[in-house]
Amino acid sequence: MPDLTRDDLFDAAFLDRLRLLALRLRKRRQLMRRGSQSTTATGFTREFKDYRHYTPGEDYRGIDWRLYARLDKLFVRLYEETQELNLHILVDTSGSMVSPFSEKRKQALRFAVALAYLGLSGQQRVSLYSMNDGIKVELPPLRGQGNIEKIIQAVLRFSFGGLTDLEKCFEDFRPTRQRFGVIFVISDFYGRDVTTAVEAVNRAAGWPGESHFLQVFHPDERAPDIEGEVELSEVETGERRRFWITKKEVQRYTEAFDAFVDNLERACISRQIDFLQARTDEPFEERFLELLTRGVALAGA
Amino acid sequence: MNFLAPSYLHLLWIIVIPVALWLFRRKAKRVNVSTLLFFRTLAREHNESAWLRTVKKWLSLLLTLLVILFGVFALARPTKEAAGDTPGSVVCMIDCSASMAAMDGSTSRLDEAKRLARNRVRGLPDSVVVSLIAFDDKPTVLLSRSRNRREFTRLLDGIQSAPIEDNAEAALAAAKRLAALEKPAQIWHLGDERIAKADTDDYHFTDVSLMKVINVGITGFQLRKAPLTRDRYEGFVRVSASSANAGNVSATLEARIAGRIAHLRDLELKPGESSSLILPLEGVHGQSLELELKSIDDCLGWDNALIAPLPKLKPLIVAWITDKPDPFTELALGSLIETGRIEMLRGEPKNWPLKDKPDVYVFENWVPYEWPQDRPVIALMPPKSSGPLRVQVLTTQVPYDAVRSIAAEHPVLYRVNTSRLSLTQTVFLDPNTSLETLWLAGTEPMLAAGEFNGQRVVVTAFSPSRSEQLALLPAYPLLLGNALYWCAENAEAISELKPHRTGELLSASGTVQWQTWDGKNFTTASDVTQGSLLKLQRIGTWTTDDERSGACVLASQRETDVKAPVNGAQVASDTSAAGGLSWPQLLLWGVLGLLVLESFLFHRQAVY
Repeated sequence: MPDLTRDDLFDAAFLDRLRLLALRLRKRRQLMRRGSQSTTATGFTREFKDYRHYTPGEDYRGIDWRLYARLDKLFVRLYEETQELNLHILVDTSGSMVSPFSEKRKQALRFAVALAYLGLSGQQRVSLYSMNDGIKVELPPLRGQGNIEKIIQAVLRFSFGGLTDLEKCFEDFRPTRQRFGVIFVISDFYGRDVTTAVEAVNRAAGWPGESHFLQVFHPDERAPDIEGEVELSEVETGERRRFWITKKEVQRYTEAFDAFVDNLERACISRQIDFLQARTDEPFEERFLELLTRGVALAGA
Repeated sequence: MNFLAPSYLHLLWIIVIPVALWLFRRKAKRVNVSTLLFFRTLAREHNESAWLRTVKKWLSLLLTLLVILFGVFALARPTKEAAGDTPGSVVCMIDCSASMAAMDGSTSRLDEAKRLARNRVRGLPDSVVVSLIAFDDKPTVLLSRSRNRREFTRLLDGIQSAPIEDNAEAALAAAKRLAALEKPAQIWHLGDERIAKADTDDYHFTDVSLMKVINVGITGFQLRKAPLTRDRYEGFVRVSASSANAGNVSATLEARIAGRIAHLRDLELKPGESSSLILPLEGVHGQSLELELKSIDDCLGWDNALIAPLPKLKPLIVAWITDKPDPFTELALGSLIETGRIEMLRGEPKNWPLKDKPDVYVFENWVPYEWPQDRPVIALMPPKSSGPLRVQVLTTQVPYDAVRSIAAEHPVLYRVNTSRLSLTQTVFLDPNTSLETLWLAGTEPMLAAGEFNGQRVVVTAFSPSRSEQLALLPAYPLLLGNALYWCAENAEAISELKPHRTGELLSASGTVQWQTWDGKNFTTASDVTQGSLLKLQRIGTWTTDDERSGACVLASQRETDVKAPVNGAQVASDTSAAGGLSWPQLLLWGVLGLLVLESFLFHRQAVY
């Protein structure tokens, strides 16, 4: 497994172009109003927005005593609320993402870094998580373009290995409402069984935000170049099975793989989750731009 | 266990190949995958534990070695016989006579004999010399002292049964000569009847007789002109039942002349019983008589029918030489002349020897000094000894009131009734000659018959004219007539009436046309003679290129008496190991079974 370097993950020229893009929410109207744009909601910023009558039970600290003194009526001062867009990036760090095809790790991390860079550039709060048998917060929410180096160093430190437990990870990932935003899940979505990923998608339906699933896979995972009697060893579980593989078997395997992807995509669409595939042999830039142009969050060019 | 072809055992080195392949086998390639979940959905998976896989590997090697071992053993042809029991040579005698065509369902005895011979010879080591003799009335050495089993099998398969009576003794003599050429030898006789006179330890008889036998057949046939008639014949037919029949057998004898049914006779015969019939027949020369015997479940077809042409008769020429003719003799011979069947030349002793050669000489009260060598003779009251005759004229004639038949079945006495005869002896016949006494009056021979120098002789010792009642009875004319025909049996004049027996040689050249009985149907056929002789191997009517014709019949009591298995005889069985299979066959089945087992255990889930 070759070690990745910073240059492998961070293409400055490409990311500079990305800087011109801003993430924009599309689907959820509530989220559409958030981010760096001003909204009709009041908040706790220094910017005064309006008054309204005090109602019992409200925080009395917000009462404008001067206005009370003048009008003999209780009014509460309302301030401008500026909500931030939270970007959650979940990267699958299970064994299947690095073995037997380490290109998957590289591709996944490049997506993660690019998304994080885009978020940081847009003054979003970017959170980074790793998933294998459980979900782990790798970086707390960061803001500001200067934190991209932290992001890069964090993903370079990712320890790949272990089992994939998508259901547990998706169950455990519960961002608070204050962390509403865009959620990117970068994984191959291989679980214990072909139905595991679809069941996990059901758990992701309740996430507060716009979700995007990005499946990273190697072309050989769809059409393996194997023939004859082989002993297949599962990289995550170590399970071994003996098969007699022929071209016909490979064809049936590919059909099973495609059926898995179709089911996963159908499950995502039914829950308004965007689903995109990224093969490791495809140019990263094209796939990333396609990801952004799928109505996810386009920055103005 | 011994091997018939041990040279093939060197092929056991092939075992090294699978062992080497097993030792240096390519292990299954191990491939790391992240998508085993999709592979699991494939149906054909070697999903088994490691210990079972190890057992299977060893088992696979073991089965492969067994396959090779069984295959090599099958080539080496193991036999359970000890090496010491193997003879140096084997002479195989196959009976192909008529009775071997007896059917047991769809298999004939000959087919069974060939099958057994084939299996037994196949069980012999390659070093054993084999000879093959097929025999009916004559043995034919088809293969002499060869180790070529393929040639043996080819010749064996070519043996066909023929409607000919067998002569196993002659075949045994030939087999002994062949066996004597290479010791130790065994003579294998495969047939339906053991040779009783086989006085050698090397003789091994294998009985191929059927378990159940039903057979009746025509065992005797003779055609003759009916007395005192024109265009009328008498057919003598004897029908016999096999002594091995389980019970009485009903049969119908159908006689057809020119395709039209002339007679239908129903018969019921006990086992071993014979029934003789005389069928009056009306027809002309050129027409054929067909006799067909029909019975249910009859196992042998050859003896169920015959065809005989109605012959054109020529008169029998008889030279009667006497100086004192007896009136009764004259009367008897005269009655025969009237029928047109006998032409009489009458002469006196002074005319001897005659210029014309008759068919039969009749000497009455006279015999020549030099006995004729080329013709049969009927000597009536010979006055002196001559040739085979040892006589003395009695000075006193002796009358006898009764006559006894010593050999009542003799053809000379056919239908001759002696119950009311009284004879007067005029000549003393010495009984110590080669002639057989037929009549005795008291202790004196009155009538004798026999052969001398290949010619038949009949002699009487009584005077017809002095014998009371002889003139009133038909016995004397019948006696003379029978004697004339018996003596002239081989004469050309009546030879057309006598059917040939199958197996005899026919003097003919060119093509011989047949109207023949093939055991089931009447058909036509032809034979091309080799040289000037043709062995008669068909039942039916033959016609030569020179317009000669005749009948050829099986008519064999021996063949019709189809044998059933005899207790104590070697039961027809081959040397197979079990269930009718030889060891090589068993081994080959074992190989096949192992391959199937290996496929089931290891390759049933494979995809090719």
